[in-house]
Amino acid sequence: MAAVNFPSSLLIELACLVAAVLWTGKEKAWPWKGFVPFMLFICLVEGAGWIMSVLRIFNHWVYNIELPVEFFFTGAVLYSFLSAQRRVKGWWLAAAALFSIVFVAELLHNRFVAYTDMADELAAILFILASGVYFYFLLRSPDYVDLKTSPAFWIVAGIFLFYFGATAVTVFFDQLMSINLLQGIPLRYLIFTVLNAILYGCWAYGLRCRYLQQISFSR
Amino acid sequence: MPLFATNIILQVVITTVVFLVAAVFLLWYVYLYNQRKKKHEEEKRRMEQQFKEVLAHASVEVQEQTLKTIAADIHDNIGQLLSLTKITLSTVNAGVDPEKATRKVEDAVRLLEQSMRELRQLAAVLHAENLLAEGLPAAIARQLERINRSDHCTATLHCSGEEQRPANPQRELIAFRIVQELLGNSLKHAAASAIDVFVQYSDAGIEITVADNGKGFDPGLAKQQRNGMGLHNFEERARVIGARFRLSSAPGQGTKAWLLLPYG
Repeated sequence: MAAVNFPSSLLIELACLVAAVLWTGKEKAWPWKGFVPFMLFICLVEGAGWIMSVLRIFNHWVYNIELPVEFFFTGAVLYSFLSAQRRVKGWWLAAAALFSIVFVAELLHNRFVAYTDMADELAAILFILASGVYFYFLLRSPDYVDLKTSPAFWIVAGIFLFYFGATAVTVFFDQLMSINLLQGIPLRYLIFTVLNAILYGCWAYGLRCRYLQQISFSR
Repeated sequence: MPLFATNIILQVVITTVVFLVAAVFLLWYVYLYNQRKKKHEEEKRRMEQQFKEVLAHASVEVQEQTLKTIAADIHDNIGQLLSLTKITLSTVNAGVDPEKATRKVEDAVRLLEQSMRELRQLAAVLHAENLLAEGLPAAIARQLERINRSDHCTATLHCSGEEQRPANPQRELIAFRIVQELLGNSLKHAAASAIDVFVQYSDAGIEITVADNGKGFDPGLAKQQRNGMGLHNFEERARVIGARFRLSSAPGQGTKAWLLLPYG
């Protein structure tokens, strides 16, 4: 995971962490109360990854720690939104089991020295599917939802745009890593910076919607 | 830079852009569809509001019609009968001709009995405030009963099929009001001497046909004129209750109105 000199992704993640603290810092309800610790964790991982890349230390293992946390948090967020409409517990457990098996198998296969990109691809596919199902439920629901101010919609939209937009980067992971190493073109990093901006932008907006919703409820 | 690397970079950039655009389009579709749902909800609310207004209007009109009927009954029938009873009784002089006096008292008793019958019928009309509790045919039958008592017109009810109530019985009240107005038009404007009302319960719903042998009119012309408002009213009320309404008439050939009120 080599990074360019300026850690723009980290800045975006820090901005989202600030947004999470500001708007969901006092949240008691799941999944909203999970955003602050999760964003803090992401910032720490990104920061550590960046420092390690500056110091020319392999940082795969940091991202290998991040991936299951990211999977289980994002998955739990999607599960909580989906389960509000239908019973999807079985699907969530199956997805979590499948991811865990692939992740552990890949870790063992790589002997802990490479990034678990297959598990990452699987997580992306599962998130795209779950987001698609969420939108499908939204379309099927007879009730009108004001999407401009719906926190869940913006959180899921961010996840969907991020993972769907990252499909090509995920598929060409090995080639992009080689190009970065041999030609010094950090295309993967650049695309992920844009996607991070979209993801955390949507999340920050969704958290703000949640905050405004809570205010209007408590008035 | 090797061609292989350039190709990969191009492929990744293009695919990413295409995928992002596709994702945005999908989100946009969800948004637009959701907006359509909002419009549909608003339209539903507007229709419900309109239904409530038409229902309230029809209720008031039915009440007004009932009050008019009562007033006419008291004035034309019960009032006359009681006046006649009073006159009969005031001429009783038992001391002069006991036999004649007995006859007069008997006449007065008969008049009072008739008054009581009229009062009972009037009570039935008053009870008709709740007239649809017994069903639409019963309510129409009461209306026709009153028309038949006038001697100017013969009204007949033909009922077929097994009686069923619509999912929202309030729609029946509006349908009844339409029938009431059609009957009023047949009497007032068409000067009909015979009216036939058909109530048929079919799979499609409650079919009501009101046919008279009155003067008839040109519906196209009537719609253009001021009195065409009545026809628009029928159509509007039928639309609000989800019914279909048709009216056919021609000068000198009577009028036939048809209403289909679905159950659902």
